[in-house]
Amino acid sequence: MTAAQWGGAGAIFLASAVEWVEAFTIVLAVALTIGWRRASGAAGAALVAVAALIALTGAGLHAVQADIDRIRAAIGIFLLLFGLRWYVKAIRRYAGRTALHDEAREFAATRGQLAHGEARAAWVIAFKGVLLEGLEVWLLVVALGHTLSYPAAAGSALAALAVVIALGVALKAPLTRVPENTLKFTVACAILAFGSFWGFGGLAGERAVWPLGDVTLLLLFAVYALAGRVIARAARVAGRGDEVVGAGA
Amino acid sequence: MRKLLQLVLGDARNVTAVALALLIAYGASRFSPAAGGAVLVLVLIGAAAVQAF
Repeated sequence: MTAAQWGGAGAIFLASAVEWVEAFTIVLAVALTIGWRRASGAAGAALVAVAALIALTGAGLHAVQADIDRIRAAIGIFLLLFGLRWYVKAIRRYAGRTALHDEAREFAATRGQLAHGEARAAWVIAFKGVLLEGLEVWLLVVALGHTLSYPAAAGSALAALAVVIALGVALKAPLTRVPENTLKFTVACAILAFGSFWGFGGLAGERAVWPLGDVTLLLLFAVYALAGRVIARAARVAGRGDEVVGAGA
Repeated sequence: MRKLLQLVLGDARNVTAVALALLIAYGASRFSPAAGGAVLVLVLIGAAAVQAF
């Protein structure tokens, strides 16, 4: 390969890696809730769906490109709805507003149904996240692939996927030692960050509303995490005040 | 399917909060696109605070 082709392959590798890391973050978040086996199943199903779409539409890429904003908006809004719910739940647990005893009783009563329903919803989140990122990688391969052959471009994207998966597998063990509510809170912040970025970016134009690009995701995550901890602390203090008033009455 | 939708969408407060946040942010983005994103985040955090207390 020429220097220009190596440059093209490197650009595709790095750009794809960014997309795969985003997809992996969502799979990781879901895996912490429903387990690695089911989350990996959802990711695998999404990759198969992307491969099927590529095989079926082939040259019809422009149709997908035109609709990518709508797909992004729909998936983003779905993530916002799911993420906000988890965010509020995790904050209430941090603040001691949701009593663990009541929650355990409620959980025991509806355990089977709830676990099944939540798992299905989480599976859909992982599937849609990987599907969207897979489509974006496909667009990258086609957009940048003209600098080298398309098989080489696809190979670069797949190599990036393999590297991200390998790094993810290495992360599995340390994550199991993190407390449950901390994990759920972190997952909620990540889902809200992606939901805000994709949902609003898809509706109002990603480059216009998020001028910093993909870096925005990290900023959004940090803002949601910080705000969540501040709200939890304030709610805990207010809760203590209520207890004092209640005790005195 | 209905149960799944309920689990994903949450209660009426959750749906209202997200819809309102997107609507207000979209309105703000008509005047200043970059401000729209910040407005969305602020309204969502505000909605979470209201529900958390």
